[in-house]
Amino acid sequence: MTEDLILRVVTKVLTPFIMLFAFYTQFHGDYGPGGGFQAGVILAAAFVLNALTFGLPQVRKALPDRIMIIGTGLGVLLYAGTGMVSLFRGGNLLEYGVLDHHSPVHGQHLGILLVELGVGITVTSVMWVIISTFMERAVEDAEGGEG
Amino acid sequence: MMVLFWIGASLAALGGFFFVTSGVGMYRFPDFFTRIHAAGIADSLGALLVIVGLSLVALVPPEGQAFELSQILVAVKLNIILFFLWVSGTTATHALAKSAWLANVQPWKKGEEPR
Repeated sequence: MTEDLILRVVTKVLTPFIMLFAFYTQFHGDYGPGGGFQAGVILAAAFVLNALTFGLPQVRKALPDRIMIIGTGLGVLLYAGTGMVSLFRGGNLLEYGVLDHHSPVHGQHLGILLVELGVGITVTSVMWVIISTFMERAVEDAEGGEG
Repeated sequence: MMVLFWIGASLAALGGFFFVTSGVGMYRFPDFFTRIHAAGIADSLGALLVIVGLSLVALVPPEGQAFELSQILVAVKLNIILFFLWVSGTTATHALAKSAWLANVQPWKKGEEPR
């Protein structure tokens, strides 16, 4: 956490744009460069920037650990669930074409969107959980805990 | 319209020159504060010249065709990138310099050995 005015103001100004860019990367990833992994890392970077500037407890108010730990599993569930649904609809595992009964192209759009969303949720949550655990440890050490 | 292209290309090349000087300065300058000064040149002046040059090149119409409005969009996007580079780069340099100062890193003085 820092008292430096410049860092606090710049963090406040840049955070919404970093998050917006993460979502752009996530949902434009079907058509251009980008995708779930990159978007997840950018979104987690926005949280880490805020934790460095305003302190870990401040960010934990917005993102309780309970929810982020659920997120680590939820993304994988979404990914695997998409694969299983296409299996039950008569295709191979992760064969998106069978997800929509009108046209395979629509099914492929839907499938890649869901799979990338699952990757994005998992990457954001795992990055945040790992880094916040490290930061918590650093705070304990600085306070003279049993590091 | 070739004039616009060559103005833009030379601005971009001049920006490239500042990137090279910044890299040389990172190696040759004697201590931490002078080195981040050299790195800041690439963040501010180098990025400014390269991006202004590239947005001028983006405004040149394609061979034998009229100017299109969508070319302005490319130039505006490049200048948005320039804005974020300026804000984040200068802030990073400020954070480095201030934390080095608070950690009692002594600035180099004339006549001392380089560190």
